[in-house]
Amino acid sequence: MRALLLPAAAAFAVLGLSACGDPLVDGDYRGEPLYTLSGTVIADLAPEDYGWPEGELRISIDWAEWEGEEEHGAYDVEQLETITSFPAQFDIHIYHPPPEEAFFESPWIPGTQIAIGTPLLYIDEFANGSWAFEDEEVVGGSFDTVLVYAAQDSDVIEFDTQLGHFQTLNDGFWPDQFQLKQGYQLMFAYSELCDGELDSVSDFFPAYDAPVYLYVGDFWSGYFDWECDGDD
Amino acid sequence: MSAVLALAAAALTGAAVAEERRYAIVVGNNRGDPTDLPLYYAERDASRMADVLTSLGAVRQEDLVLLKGADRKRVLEVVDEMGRRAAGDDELSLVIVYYSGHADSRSLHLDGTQLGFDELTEALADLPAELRVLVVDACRSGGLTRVKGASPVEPFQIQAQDKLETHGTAIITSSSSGEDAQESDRLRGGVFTHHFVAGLLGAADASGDAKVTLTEAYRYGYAQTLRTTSAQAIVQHPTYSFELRGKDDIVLTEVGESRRSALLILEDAGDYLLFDARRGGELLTEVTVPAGARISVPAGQYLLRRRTERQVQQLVLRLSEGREVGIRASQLATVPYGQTVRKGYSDERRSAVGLLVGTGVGGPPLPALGVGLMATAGARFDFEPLSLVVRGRYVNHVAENHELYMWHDVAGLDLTAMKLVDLGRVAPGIGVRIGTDGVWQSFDTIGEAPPRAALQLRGGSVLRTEFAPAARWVLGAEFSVDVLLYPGQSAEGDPRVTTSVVPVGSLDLTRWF
Repeated sequence: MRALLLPAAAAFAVLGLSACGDPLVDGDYRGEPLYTLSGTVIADLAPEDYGWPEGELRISIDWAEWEGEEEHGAYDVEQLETITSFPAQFDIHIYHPPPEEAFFESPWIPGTQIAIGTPLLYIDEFANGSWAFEDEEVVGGSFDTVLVYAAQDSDVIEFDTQLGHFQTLNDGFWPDQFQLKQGYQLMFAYSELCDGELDSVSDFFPAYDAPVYLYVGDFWSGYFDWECDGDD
Repeated sequence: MSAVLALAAAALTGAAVAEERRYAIVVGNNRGDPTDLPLYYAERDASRMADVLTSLGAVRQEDLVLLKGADRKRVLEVVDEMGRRAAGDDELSLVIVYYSGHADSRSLHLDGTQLGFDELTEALADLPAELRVLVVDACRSGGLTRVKGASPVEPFQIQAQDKLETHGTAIITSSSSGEDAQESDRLRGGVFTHHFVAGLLGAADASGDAKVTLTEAYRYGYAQTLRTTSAQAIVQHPTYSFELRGKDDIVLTEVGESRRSALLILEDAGDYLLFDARRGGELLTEVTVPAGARISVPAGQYLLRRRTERQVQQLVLRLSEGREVGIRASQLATVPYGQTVRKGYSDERRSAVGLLVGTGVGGPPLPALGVGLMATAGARFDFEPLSLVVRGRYVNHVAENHELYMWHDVAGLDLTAMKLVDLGRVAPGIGVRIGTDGVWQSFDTIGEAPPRAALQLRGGSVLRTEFAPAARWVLGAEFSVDVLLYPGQSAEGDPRVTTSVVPVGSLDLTRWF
């Protein structure tokens, strides 16, 4: 028996070098990220000074659910991260497409099914890693940036580059056309959406790799006109 | 040779043991010349020969001299003394001289002294005995471990008819010229002496008349010595020289004659081994006998083992003084097949081959994976020193999280070397295992997770317990700890060889062929 040990150990060592192939993943593997949303959470106060209810401050991407012309408040939560201090850098990996209910065909990008998600900050009072739309408090989010998922490549979109929003937000760089690619992309949104209709295609344009800023405070979105009254 | 023996036996009618006064000089010397390697069992052989002569050979205790480690002078003194005693007898006398120890082509080596064959045979010729039997278990050279003798000189030949001028002389040597006589650790004695004594106990009684003659004893000793040594590097051929003018074949022992002994009647032919249960299972005798053979053995508790080409059977039995016990093969329990090989019970089968199938569970090879279900199939090869298993193995693990469902499939081969300890039908053991696996990971997700494939190495230790419900079936339960080496990745996503320790439990069923 002992005579076998040395050759066995040597064989093991040699074969160990031949352990090869794709890197194996463990059971927590969530797949390859389809998109990584990177940015910063900005706040005026320390987390404890806001008087939030007890719970972790988390980031969520909420996907508006569309059915016909109605906008519903059902949301699906994506990858979350816990924020403990400000400013906080974050990288959110997104591993799957938006829920089917979030897809719609936008009138300004005809023929392409898209879903639009808004990054927001909420207090996970239920400590379950999922934002409860009606019950958990939203304490901040992005004013002007949304995540758009296109089910397929869109047609090329022409738009007016002379608008003030465009020049301001895109730091002087303005293409006069763009195309949604299949998958995720970050976009600036300055159109006001009411009942599924955009006011202006020109207020909705690509953000490319611009960082996302999530602001703590009263949350409003440049995209949604929640009350359909012409205000955000 | 057999024709000569047959003629001698046919011409003679067999003299009864009790008609003669018998004397015996039994000499055993573990130590020979200073250059001789010490022997282990020569003196033990002498004791066994002395026992059988006094119990079954009609040699009175007071007429036997057992010498252990004696020198030349002492041996000659005893021969001389025996001659004086025999001269005073009115009865026909028989003198048996047995020697086990070192020798060369010219002399016996006796504790640093040498007794020339010429000198010995002349001394025997001077004995006033009717019959003389000289049995020498020695050889002339030794090239292997504890082989008797040490000097590679001329062949050892004893020419009895040239040296002795008395009425009858028979000389038996344990090996032919140029051959070594061997000791056996398994038999715990000289090979020839072991079989010769077994023959005297009754195994050689080919005629079934409960009397073992010199011819029968020689024939049996010859055949069994040849058989035992034929599988070894040195084959040993015992020789004889009988000069029994006008005399019957000499009856050396009468089986069942002794009241101190029991008579074991082996109703079925075969190879039998008899172990003394009270002496730690020491082998008492190994015999090959026809059906109905009668073996005289001391009273006691024994393990009787019968070997055939296909199986080994055994039985524990108690033999009382003066009792006859008949044993049929059907009374013996069959020894589990693998055990016969691992314990070296069978001369014919040095290995056992079996097929096995099994199932089990394996711990998670990677974090957050579930317990895996395992199926195994393979071949097993048992040898006396160890058992080897070559096995194919398939294990399936799954995992699930918010994003995907994952299958982690492992298929591979491994080799296990085990040492099992046979305790009746149960055999616990330990071993080591080494193997290699292909690993496939596949995913069900609405996201993106391409399948992965890798080669992993596996090794570890094995704790095993077996149970043999039947001779050719074995149920095994096993616990092993496997160490896995596989390509993984760091927290930063960089590839690296990763190690995991995985406990595995399994059950299997083996069928021996």
